[in-house]
Amino acid sequence: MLKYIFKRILILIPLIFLVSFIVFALMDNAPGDPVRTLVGENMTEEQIEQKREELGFNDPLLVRYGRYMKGIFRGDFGKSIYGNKDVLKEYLFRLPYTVKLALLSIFFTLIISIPTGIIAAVKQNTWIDAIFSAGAIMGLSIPGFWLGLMLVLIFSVKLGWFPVYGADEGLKSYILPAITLGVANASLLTRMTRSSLLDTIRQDYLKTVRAKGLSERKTILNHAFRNALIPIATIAGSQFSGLLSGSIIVENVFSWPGIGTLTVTAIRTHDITLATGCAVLTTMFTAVTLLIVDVLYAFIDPRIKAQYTGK
Amino acid sequence: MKKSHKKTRNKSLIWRQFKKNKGAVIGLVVFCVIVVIAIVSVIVFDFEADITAVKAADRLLPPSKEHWFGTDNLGRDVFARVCYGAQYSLLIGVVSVIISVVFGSLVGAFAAFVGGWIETVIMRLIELLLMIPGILLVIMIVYTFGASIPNLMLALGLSTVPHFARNARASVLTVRNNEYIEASRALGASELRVLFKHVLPNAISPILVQATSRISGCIISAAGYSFLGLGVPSPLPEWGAMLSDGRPFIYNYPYLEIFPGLAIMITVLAINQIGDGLRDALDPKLKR
Amino acid sequence: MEIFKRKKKTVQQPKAFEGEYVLDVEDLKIRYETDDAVVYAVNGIDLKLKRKQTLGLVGETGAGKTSTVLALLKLIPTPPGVVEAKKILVNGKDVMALSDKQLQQIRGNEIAMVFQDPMTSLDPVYTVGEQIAESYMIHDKLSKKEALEEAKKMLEIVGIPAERSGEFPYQFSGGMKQRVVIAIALACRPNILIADEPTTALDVTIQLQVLELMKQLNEKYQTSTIMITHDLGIVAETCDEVAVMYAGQIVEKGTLEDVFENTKHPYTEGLFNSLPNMNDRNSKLNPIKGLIPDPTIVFTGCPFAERCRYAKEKCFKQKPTVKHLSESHQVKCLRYDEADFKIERSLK
Repeated sequence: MLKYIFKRILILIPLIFLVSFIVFALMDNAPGDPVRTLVGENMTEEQIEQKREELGFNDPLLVRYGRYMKGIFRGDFGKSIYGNKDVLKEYLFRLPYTVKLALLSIFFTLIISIPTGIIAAVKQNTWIDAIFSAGAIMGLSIPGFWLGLMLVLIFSVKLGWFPVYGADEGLKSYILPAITLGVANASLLTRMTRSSLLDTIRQDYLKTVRAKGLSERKTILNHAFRNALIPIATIAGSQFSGLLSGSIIVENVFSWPGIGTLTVTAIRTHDITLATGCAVLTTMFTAVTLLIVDVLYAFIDPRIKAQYTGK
Repeated sequence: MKKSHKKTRNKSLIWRQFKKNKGAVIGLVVFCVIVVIAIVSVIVFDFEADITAVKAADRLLPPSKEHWFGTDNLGRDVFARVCYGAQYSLLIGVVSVIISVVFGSLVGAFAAFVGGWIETVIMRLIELLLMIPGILLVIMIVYTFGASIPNLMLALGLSTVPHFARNARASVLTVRNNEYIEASRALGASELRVLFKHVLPNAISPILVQATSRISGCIISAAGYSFLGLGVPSPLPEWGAMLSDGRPFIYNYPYLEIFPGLAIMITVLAINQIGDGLRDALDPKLKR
Repeated sequence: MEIFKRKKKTVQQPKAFEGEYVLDVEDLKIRYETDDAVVYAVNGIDLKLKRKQTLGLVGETGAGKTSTVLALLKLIPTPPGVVEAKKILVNGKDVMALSDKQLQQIRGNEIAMVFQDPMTSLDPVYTVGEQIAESYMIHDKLSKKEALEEAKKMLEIVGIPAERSGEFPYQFSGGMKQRVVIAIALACRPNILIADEPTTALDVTIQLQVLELMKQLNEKYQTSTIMITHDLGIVAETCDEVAVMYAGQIVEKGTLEDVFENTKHPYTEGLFNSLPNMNDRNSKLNPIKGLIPDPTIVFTGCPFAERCRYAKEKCFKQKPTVKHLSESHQVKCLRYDEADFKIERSLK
């Protein structure tokens, strides 16, 4: 198990190189001049050029990239151009908002989609199944950010139940963004739960279990669902890690002070260091989350556990 | 010998299976209507006069007989803009998925076909690329090369190339290892003949199903990026861009946000239904 | 006191039942209704099983054997399945009339089943011990710990070391898995065991071991058995009585001797003739020509007529009825209305 985790962590190293290089190279060609932004309007061309030289912006791309990478491995992600703040600190300050939101959202997703998926599968081809399945495909088709706008319009503006934007009102502020992020995921997971449960329901071992005299309810929950859980967990895990990076647009709708908003602001203000840092850190963070999720599978499927432990 | 003759499931059979799914048929009809609207509105509306021209006198009119969906802050008719915008979403969805499918399938099939260390290197690279959040890639690419429709298509397309490559490789490998491929190889068919006669036709259904669901994903994403200002630029009436334009007026003029959003939702819903129908029809094993 | 109590709890006796037949089925019909077609799997069969007897249910794939026995446990999925019968008595209780709860009490406790493919009939995410223990927890209301202890004993009985009870199915070979499945089925000492081609999926060498084990345990626990198979060798080896099924009907039924030595039905004859002749390797194989009929067809005559070399015109038009040839032997063939009709095999 440890060996497997170690291997997975090793993969992170080339990943960091790859993502940082892509982002670095892209941002290098991006429009806008960070130095000009930095020094302000009133400087002469010579002064700008001097500042540019000073900050090392005139070095070739690879030299600057090398310098940047050296910093990263010492834990130094540089300082943001706009505001001169430590990138890592700024990122870590925003991260909890996004993580908390993601946790709440995946919680919503699970408590909604697993029961509905199970019911839809058990009552396959009945009107309940039809309603749940129709609801799921609707949920998959709603653009998340638009749903967020509509929820704000109804529940915040018209009814005044929740704040319109920001994260200042505790749990209340989390509800709408979490639901907004959860709808598409819940819809997908409902479909997954249904189809993977239908798959296991037809397996031979359920016949063995029923022939033992186990009640239908326990047959479904203890055996069918337990086996269906493996693909469900895979999807839920990737959904959770997706929420860490994928909430950018929804964060924008709610002016959420998370890493998505930070990333977009960095890009909009041509802040290369901050944008690159955000991209690298988000990628790493997502990868680590995926790793944790993968390790958790071992507790669901003994075969995977055996693979890890090399038994 | 399971499913050895999937290829021989002819078109009429697929169509008959597809027709059984009522939702899919409705989806197909709605989709056709949207396509017609997209085409007709290009002919009927004048881009300058009807879509982008500012009419100060008509600012922010609520929905009425003359303006079914009302007018926006620049006095432009929202109904006309929503109809005209259909082409962008459809085009972006389809073209970006074509980019993904073509590049992804080529890379994936190539890897599976060549094998050896080249395959290993390609697949490792793809695994790494898959770990980079696609949304970040798209935003960075569009930002760097500028917000425009072609750039957005390219970014959306490229960001899913690894997914398609992985799946294409997987389906080529499964098909390749099937007994009937073994059989035709044993009969002396050349590798290339096997690839084109047997492997590709059989690998195509999963790719097609994945592509359909990806089109709807791309339409939603494209609208999202335009909403952020990193997609289709204003004043083009792309639905996401319209949502972005209307956002400051949401509290008093919510219809500006409702109609473009509904348009996205209906389009995506129709495509999702078609995708479900296709999946059931192409692969009855998956039908539940 | 404690020990005594425990003993009472764990040593199971065969479930008391005094009637002559542990199983009594009359006019069982099963069909599956799908969107496209209705499949008539079982078309009116009668089955009786005496205590401690083994009945062989023989026939080709698709003859309705598995559907028949699943109906005995009321395990036919409905929909699409539709089950009708005058009666299905298991230990004197009518399965058709029992509530779900009562059914669950019977399943695994009075009537148990061993399935065809051991590879897929064990739940991959539980240890084999847990899967055997589940039966004890359901029927004998043992605690999990007690049940696991019992499960270990049961594993030993089927010839697997008790230490392996904590292992998962994927760690066992096919033959071992089938032993586990047998252990699950016999855990609560049912008086009826249904074995659905228990050895088909196994290697030939393992088949014998598993059959031997089943035979042994059935004697030990005085279990009555229904053995589904298409292997006449296994029937000869294990069964007291034989019922031959074709297209959802029992075409011939009798003691092992009746059916093997005094074959009457042309289909049974065909089954025997299609066996390779061990003594004369040059003799041609003699398969029954044609295929089993489409189960969506409702026959007006004898379903075997098309493939039967004795078929006369009436066989296509008239439904055959059951003819009792002796106390134990019966056949479903119109030709026996003719006094002098004989099939070739019985001439030999």
